Amino acid sequence: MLAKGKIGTGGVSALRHPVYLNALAVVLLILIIVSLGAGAVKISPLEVLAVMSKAIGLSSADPEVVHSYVLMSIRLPRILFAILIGSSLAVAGACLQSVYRNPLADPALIGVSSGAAVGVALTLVMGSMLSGTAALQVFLGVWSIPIAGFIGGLAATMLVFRLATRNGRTDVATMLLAGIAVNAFCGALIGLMSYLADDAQLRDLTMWSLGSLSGANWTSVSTLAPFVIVGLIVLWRSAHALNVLLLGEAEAFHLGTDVNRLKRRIVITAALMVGAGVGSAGIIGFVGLVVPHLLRLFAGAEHRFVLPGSALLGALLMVGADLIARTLAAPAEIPIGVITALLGAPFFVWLLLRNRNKWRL
Amino acid sequence: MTSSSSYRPGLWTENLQIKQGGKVILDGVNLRVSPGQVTAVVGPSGAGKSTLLRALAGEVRPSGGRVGIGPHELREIPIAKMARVRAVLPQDSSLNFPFKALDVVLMGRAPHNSGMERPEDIDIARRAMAYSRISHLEERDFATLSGGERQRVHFARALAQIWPNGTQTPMYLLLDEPTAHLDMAFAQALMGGAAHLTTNNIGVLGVFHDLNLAAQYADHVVVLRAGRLFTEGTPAEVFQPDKLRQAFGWDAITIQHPTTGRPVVLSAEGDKGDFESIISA
Repeated sequence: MLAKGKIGTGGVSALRHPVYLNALAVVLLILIIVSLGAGAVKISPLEVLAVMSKAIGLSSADPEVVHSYVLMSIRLPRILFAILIGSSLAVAGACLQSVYRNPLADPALIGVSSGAAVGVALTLVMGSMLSGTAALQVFLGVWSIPIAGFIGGLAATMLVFRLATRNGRTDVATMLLAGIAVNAFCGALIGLMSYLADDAQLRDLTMWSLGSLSGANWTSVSTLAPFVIVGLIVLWRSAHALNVLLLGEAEAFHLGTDVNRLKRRIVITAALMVGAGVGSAGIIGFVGLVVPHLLRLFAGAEHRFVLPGSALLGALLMVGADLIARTLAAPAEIPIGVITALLGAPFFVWLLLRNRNKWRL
Repeated sequence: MTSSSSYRPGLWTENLQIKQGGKVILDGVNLRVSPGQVTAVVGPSGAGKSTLLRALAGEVRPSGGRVGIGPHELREIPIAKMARVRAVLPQDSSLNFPFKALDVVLMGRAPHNSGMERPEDIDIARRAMAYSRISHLEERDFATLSGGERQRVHFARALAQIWPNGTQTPMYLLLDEPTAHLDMAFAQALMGGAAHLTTNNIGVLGVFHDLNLAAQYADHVVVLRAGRLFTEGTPAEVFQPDKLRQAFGWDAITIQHPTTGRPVVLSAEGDKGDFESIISA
């Protein structure tokens, strides 16, 4: 690191990245503390810190029992859940964009999320009808939902990839159109599931499909965490290869990358993360689109910056959106998917207009 | 390697056949790119020049015959290992994402480091940029560069990939119409730079549209016609009016360059086809 620093005139982008990443981490930490304190029971930042330090055994202070309960059993798992979802959507988005070599590839836009949603809806509704899925559910327990999301998401991703890629190049218009087709088809399947569902299933399905973090608890956090952590590690290890892939598939091959293996690894991992996330929190759109794009705008496309940056900024955005979701109309709660879509859709339009000529749309 | 244990120098094809979509693109091509030489591939459009380059790069697999480096066939050489001795300058390459020119050149070092560039990689990238005379572009966003500037950045990237390491290991640089986007002076600079690499035991293969560029820089010229090797030899042997007429269907005359002594190819006269009768018909 020191030796690299001496090289000097700031020629290598990687050298500037720690500043941005540290700043993002600090802001995220502050937002977490604010968010932990906000809600029906207001808790001051100092008390939040006191409860947290007691929880990890750093302090023997005696915070109020109710506050301690609210923080540890309700808000902390919810915020950790938001962090997991936000990071995985943003990092998966960044990686899919590199595989498609196109900055418009968002998991929700190109059908990964709705493919995952079909998997989840099938499991929720058909679980009691088909003995096969029922057995699967008994066998897999809490894992059945994220795994169903993963399989559905992977199938949709493969389909869009097949449709939109010819000779190693992805056509943007075809990719977005394929996304529309997959989304429409999946929407119809989910509609069918709603029609078939009984009242209890229908309520589950509706709550879940709007995109919400309200179901978060320690069980959902610990179910989702392994998927996200494994995914982040796999994708992080591919960061350098992804840089090279942006040059083009032939060029990446010339530079010693086994392109097909890399693409397969990325697509499967991204589908795993998005699928598990969608399974837990419903479809939350645009995070995977907005976050990597903002980062590239500020500091370039180097993945060793964009990937950790996406994890941090994705978490930041999701914790922030969740804070808005549960405080703006309190005591009611706005589905978080509604908020990210309200913020993200105009951004997407702006992106389209800005790059209209470049992508021949 | 079991099929052939004999030592063959260079990057070679043996009776190479390539089929794509049932169509034979290349057939029976024997070629050798020798370290220390510039080999030029010329031929009419659709003769299979770029396909030949892609086969030599290992990008397309032979449908028949063999491609190899030294004693090994390409399919026996791991992709990552291959990338340490062979670089390719593509005809054009798009990059929709913001990278600094230096970062793009540094990607050329990817085969030599495991994801984290070392100080010597940065040093080599800077030297490759100086060699390509684009040091002033180092900090520029690649996406904002002109077509010619991008081409030179990619050239520097390819150079950084096979930058001489002092061991005299034979290495290969494959150029696919390297000067297509370049002005004359830059085309000369790029080809001059590529030709000088041969002194470091690097074999250069270029696909050229411009015959005079091939005549000026090549030690060995290979003419492809309709997927087959039509003729090969030194520029003086190959660039002769009768051969050019047969290969390109082009009436050309060849003169000698007053200072280099190499052949210069010119059109015999303008095409005086029966245009008028078509208009007045």
